[in-house]
Amino acid sequence: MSDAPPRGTGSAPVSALVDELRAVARAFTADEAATASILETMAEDVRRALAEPLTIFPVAHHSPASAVHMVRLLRARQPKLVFVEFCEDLRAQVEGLRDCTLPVALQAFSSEPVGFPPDWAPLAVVAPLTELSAEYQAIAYALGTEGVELVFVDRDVDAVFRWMDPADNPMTPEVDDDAEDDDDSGRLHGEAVGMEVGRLEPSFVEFRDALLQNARMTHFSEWNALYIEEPTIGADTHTYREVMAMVGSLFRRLGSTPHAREEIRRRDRFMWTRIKQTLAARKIDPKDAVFICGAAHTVADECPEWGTTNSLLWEEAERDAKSGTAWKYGFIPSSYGAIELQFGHPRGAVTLAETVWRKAIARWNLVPFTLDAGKPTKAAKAGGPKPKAKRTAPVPEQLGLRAVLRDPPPLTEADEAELIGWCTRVVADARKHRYLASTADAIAIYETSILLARMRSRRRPSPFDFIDAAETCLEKGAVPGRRDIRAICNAMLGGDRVGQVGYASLPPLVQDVYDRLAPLGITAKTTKVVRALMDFDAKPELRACSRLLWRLHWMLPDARVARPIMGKLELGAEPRQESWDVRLSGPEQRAVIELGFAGVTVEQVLERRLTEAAFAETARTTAALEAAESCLLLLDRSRLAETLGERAVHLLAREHGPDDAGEIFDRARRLVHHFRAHPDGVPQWLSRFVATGYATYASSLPAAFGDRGTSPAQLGAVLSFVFTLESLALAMGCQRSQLVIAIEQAGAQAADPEKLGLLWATQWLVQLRDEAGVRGAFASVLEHPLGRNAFPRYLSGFLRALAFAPKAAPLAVELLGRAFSVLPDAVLLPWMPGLLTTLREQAIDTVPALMKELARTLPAPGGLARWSPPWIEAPEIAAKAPVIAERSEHARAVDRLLQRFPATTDAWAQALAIGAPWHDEDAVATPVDTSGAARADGPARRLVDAHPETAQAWAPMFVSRR
Amino acid sequence: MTELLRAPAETKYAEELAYLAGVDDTKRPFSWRLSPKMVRIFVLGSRDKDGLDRTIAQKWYGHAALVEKAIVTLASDRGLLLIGDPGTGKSWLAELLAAAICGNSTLVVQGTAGTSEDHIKYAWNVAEVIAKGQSKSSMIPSPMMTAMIEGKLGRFEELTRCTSDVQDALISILSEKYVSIPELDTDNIVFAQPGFNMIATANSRDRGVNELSSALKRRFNYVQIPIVTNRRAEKEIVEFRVRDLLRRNQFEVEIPPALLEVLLQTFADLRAAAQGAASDDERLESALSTAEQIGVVEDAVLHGQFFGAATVEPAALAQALVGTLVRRIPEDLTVLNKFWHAVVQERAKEHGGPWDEFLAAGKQALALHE
Repeated sequence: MSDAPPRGTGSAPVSALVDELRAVARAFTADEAATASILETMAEDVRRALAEPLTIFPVAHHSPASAVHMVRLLRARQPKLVFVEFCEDLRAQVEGLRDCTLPVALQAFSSEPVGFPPDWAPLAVVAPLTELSAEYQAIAYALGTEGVELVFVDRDVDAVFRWMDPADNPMTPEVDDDAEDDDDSGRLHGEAVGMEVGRLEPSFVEFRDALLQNARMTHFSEWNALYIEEPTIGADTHTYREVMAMVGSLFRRLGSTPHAREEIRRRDRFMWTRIKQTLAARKIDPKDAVFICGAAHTVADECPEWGTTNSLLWEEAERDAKSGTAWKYGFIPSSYGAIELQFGHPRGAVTLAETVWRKAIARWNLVPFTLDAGKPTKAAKAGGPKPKAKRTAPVPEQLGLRAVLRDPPPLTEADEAELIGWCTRVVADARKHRYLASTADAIAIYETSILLARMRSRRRPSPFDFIDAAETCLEKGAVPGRRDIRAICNAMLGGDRVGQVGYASLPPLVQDVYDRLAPLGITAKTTKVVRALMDFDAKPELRACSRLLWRLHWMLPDARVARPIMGKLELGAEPRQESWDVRLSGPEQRAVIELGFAGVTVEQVLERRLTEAAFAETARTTAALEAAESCLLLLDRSRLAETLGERAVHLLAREHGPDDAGEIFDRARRLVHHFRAHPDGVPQWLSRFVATGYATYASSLPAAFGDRGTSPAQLGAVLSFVFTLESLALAMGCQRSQLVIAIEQAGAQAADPEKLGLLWATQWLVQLRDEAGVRGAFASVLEHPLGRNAFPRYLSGFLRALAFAPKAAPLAVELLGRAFSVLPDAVLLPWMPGLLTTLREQAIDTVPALMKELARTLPAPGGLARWSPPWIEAPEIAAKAPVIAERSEHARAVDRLLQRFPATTDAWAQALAIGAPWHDEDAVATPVDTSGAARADGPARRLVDAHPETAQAWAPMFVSRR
Repeated sequence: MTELLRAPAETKYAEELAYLAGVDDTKRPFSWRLSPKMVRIFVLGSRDKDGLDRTIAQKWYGHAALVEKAIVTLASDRGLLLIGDPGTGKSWLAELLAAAICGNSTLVVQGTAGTSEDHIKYAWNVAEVIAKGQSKSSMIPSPMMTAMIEGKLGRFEELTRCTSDVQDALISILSEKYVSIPELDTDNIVFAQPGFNMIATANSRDRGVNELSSALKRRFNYVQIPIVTNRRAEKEIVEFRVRDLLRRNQFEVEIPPALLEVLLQTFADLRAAAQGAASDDERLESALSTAEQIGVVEDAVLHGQFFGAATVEPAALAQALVGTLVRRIPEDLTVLNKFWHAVVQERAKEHGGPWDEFLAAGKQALALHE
């Protein structure tokens, strides 16, 4: 059996090793006794761990060596009971692993924790599993082999948080400075607390740094790869266990902070209690069981319950009261990137581990355990598929602990070809990513890899050396494409893998989503983005898919699960075509799974979210109204909409100011317009909302006009609400007098020029002021030398009124015209940006009316030179107007004479057939055209010209009479 | 030996180099004075596991992997280009590597806009040419040619400051490893001796000035030297350099550790602010490198020595910091003013102690500029 102690090893070589180490201590330290004591304790730890009847199998997370030896041990021993250091309450979920594509993570999630600080919410724990994790191999063995039981023995998920210091927030895990999150797959675990079996990194930072500095390494993964992975992967399983036990002892005793050490001890007590309880209950000999745990748990460090040779149980394991938090369990997809990010491994570390694992299983002709969908088969009864018997499996060399500590790992089989292969492939891949790379570079990378390996005391280059060499030779300062050399190398060595949770292991909600999206060809196996083109005329059944996608889009706006490319969701609109990008893999699948923890169907969760949004303690009217509108849009449930709407009415009645008036008005108007065109008419709740709004806003007007904290824009929104929805409000029993009184009162309050402009317009609307009055008010501002500079502000306020008073447009155009003609540039230019901004804000409400009026008023192209604004009297026109000449005294005397004795003139008029207009009363006042032009050719003129004697005889007579 | 203002690394650390050469029993590239492992020890300092019977001090601080990459590049056929922001220790690393590998770090060509091909290859002693005609004896070899002749490492500082045609003169040196002298009829080729290679440095901020041609790029391996942002490493560097300064000047000035923390924290905050800035005008012109921090401490130490009470005061540190970082007026002044009132003020409120004096003196120094 490969895990049996090699000949000549066992406890004797450990003692020999201790003697040897003591000699070293004597040579290098002054205090030999202290060092000896530490060394002896460590040796004792190793001896005790290996002597325990229950096989303790120490592992490191995602360690190929651990996984290889796990496979070997399970095949050799075929234990009946497998204990794993995982939270005991996660056990029920593992059956679902059969259906998943690795890597996936077991997850426990709670959005509403009870008994924990509120800022911890939501709480989540993830335990990622990859094929090369020893714990997965053990799970696959246990689930795939009949008669083998799998037991998780660690404290439950609730205790993970219960045992934490309330001062620490576990949901903000520390992330390594060097860790990069440039990939979607890195976000897969969210902010969950990570659980690893066998976290093999010292928690005592100074100790870890000393190790790294001594080894001249920057990252612990590298240290682990060189000093633990490489030497043990080729060793026998017994030696592997010895090395791991020794490392565990070293890290626990010297490399752990007191806090971490205490936590490990507490977990040890819990786990050994559970182990002994299970063994007793199942009546299984400890020799037929295996306990898979982190290396630190191999040490019996002040833990009386440690080991199966005593019967002590930790009573607190039963007494520890749960918090009352309801936990939801399931799987979420994971990825190598997410694992690296969460556990602070350098980028690509898990990919490299997978490369090593694949090579090792090929080298030792091992068949790893896998889980197939379905029950354990007969072939699996005897411990799963057997290694192929085509060639004899090589047997690992029995090295012993001492040999591993003394000598570098033996050379593996010819790896030269593999390294050359890497060098040529990376150059080819780099070229594809627009690097200038040639065969000469492949040679340089090969040489550099060898040199780096030698410098780092390795017999042959590791993937770390290869990547460093490739980076040195190919990276030239700037990255020409999307990937840098390190990313190219990682992709070449296997790349990131993203897992997928299988259909059967998904929560009901997610299964339902997959079922309903099946017409779009989306299944639980789809890993790519699906572009869904929906033509509802051709396929009306796709409307259901569209509705689901809109709901997912609303609930997960940032998760990119459903992204509309073409199509809009509007009240009352029935689209004929839509186009969507749908992703339900990787992080997106995780997001939907977490939704699945909140309810059984998407609609149920949506309903709850809407209700929560509207009924939250701090909810404002806008939130409730939005929820009501979203309910109509997404769920089309009028009863829920009514509940939400009533909540909005309730909140609106308690609104203290017009802060949200703009948004409230927009939504309310949209809803009213929609329902006015609806066969059922405006619902009661909406009518009540409008009436409440009218009453609330109308009564708040005096305060709003006077309050400096209320902006003119907010005031404009309030007035828009009041005037635009007034008809509905009056129909609901509101009184206009309330508004008129409020506006009258507001007149005394308003002082701000912009608000005054708005007020004048409002007064005009409610007939407290006529158009001339408004014009006069503005004229007084313009004429006043001190008020003139503020004229733009008055006008800005007036322009806001256009949103609810289109009849003000002609006057607005006139006032704008006056402002531009009268005001100096020094006033106009600073005003321009503000004017444009105001107009842009009201682009929909104001600008169309203004443009229409301008188009009516302004001349056609080309006519500008002769055009004059209608509100200004043009001087040219005045010049052309009939000139009433100043009449001389003679002329006035003639007039008087003619009027007193009209008989002669009448006779002449009769003779000339020209009528007698002087008999009209008005004619007296009507000026007579004496320009002469009109009568130059007239018959009277001709008569006078022909017989001037009469006129000449009269003339002296008129003069003498004067 | 006559005292030098600044001795080159091979002189300064001659004793360490001689010791390492004495104990070096591992394989080394032909003509190297030390094996790659010993070069690494010389640069990064010794560790217990190296088994040396004396300590070798660390001289360059940064990722060990970078130094390893640099060393193996020099052992290969390609030149080494150290690229990074100003003040990241590129030239210092180049000097240490040259000193350890070939015992001579002074064969340096300084790249400027005025560097010509003569500076890279050779020039002529005009008087001698007139007197005796062109011959090898009237030729003045450049430091690079001398490195070729002697099989040593030639250094090229600020490579990207040179114009492209001058840069391209290096292509034949790096690939064919010889320089031909067409002016001579016979003996007109200078071949590089084994051991010759080149360490160039380039400022990543100037990279756009004269970008290297593709042909030259592929003859260099690039090693990017990042700005040290790790607080502990940065502290070590500053302490190391300040100790060096004190030793050199035989000063007795004390730097309180709390004050060093103030400086490191301020730089860390400044970097964070620079990262979040939207435009160049909103960030300081300075790269905020470790070298700048050393400069600030040096200023403060000198001030403390000559005008203070043989200790570094928070006020002196703040004044030195403002003086070092304000280069553009008003942009840098505006940035620093905002930073001082937003961030330093908060720190002072939070921690008190030396921060208070640091805050006040900084404001005063800023006011003087204004």
